[in-house]
Amino acid sequence: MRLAGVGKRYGLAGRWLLTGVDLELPGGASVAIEGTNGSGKSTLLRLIAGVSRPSRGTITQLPPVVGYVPDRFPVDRMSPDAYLAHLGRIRGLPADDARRAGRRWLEEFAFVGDPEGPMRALSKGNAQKVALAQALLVPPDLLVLDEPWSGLDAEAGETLSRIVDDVARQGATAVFTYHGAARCRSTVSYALTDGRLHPTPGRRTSGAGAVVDVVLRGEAARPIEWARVTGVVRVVASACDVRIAVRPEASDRLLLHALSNGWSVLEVRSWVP
Amino acid sequence: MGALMRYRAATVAHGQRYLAPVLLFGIALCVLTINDQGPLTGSYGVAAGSLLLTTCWLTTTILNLEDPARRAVSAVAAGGSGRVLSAELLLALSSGVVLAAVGLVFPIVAGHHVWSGVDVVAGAVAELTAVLTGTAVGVTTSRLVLPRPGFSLLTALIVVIVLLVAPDLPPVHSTLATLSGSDDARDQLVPLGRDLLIAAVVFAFCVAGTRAVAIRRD
Repeated sequence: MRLAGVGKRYGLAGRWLLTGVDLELPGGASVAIEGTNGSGKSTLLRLIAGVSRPSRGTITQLPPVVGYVPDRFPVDRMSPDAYLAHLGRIRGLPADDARRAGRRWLEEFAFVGDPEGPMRALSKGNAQKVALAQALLVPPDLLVLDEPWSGLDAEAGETLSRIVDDVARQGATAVFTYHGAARCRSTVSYALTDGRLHPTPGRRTSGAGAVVDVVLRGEAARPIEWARVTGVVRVVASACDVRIAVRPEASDRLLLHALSNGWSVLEVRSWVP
Repeated sequence: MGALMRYRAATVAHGQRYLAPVLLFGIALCVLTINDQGPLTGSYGVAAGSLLLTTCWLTTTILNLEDPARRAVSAVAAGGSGRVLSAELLLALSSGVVLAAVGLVFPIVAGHHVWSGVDVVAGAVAELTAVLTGTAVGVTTSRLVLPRPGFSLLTALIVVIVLLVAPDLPPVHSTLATLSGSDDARDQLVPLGRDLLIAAVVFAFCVAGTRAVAIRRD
């Protein structure tokens, strides 16, 4: 799928939200789009999902099955079960398969709440899980997620990151927006400023300069002078946690050392700055 | 399309906003046709007039029900916003046809008329005209074209009133005039058929216009 010179404004007198977006979305990629509030991320995602049409420029080769999660998912009296069954049928699944697929994705995201009660009664995070489930009922060729991590708890956030990875690994394309800390390992990332996309350095899991970011907590642990441990690149200590960047080849030894001294591992992540 | 219609029917049922227009039609039919005497086509005129207002209101209700963000999700799932609109229009038209069927049978049961099959055919044509025109007005005054609810309601009301009272304005007022104008339904069939044709053209025109505006606005 490709966007060429895409511009968008609402109404004839509207401000140009996007001025000239060129974007190639190859299969197997997970594409992150970063931008401040009001930078036009949601507008760009609506164009990519085929919800709205560009005011100028062209979008070609929109894949057949698209999953779309808007930044805000309005809820009503319908139950998650019924909603997902309806959406599955709209996508061409037989009624039973649609219901099963809905339940499966809700379980996958550890949905808490009454799947037969009104969606109106759900918390923001649980409503977001319904929104995500609906986009995944049929394996999408293109998954478009607008601020998908907002409102999700840590565990569901991890599940979503894994699903985005899986989608890309299976040859489909995932596009998502975020602002602030990235929750996902994207293969390509862009910043949206002044209505245009600018490539930002990608994050890979290996290569020159790669580190493993480790977060440890040691309330009752033996103190260690982290900066002197082999392979440690950087240490940032806060009140109770310490964040250590360590070279990948030395990370396992560091973790072993930390654990054997009573430290607790909070986070381990591959990172290319 | 079937799945989309079922989904929309379910959201309509959950929302319960369909009740007001349907009740309005039921009450108008009861009050204005019970114990009616004289030609049956006179009662059908009343039914057609009420149907115009009811189907207009019902269509707007169906089209405005889903929040735009959720509508976008449905459109992506369905493979295009045009399919969502088509499903909504089919739902609006089929509910209009069901109401029209009630509007055909009820005056026979509840009134005192000497009637023939031709009267019923004339009534059916007239009520279909009202359903098509009402749906057309409803779609053009829906959120897709007029996003501000107050303005939308006012426009719909004015258009419906003009259609009902402007002398000999096709397709609705001319239909009502035809129904009350002659005692023999056989003389009415040709002008009623012409009005139905006009209503179909108006409907197609309104739907195409709405679609064009909705695409521009998305």
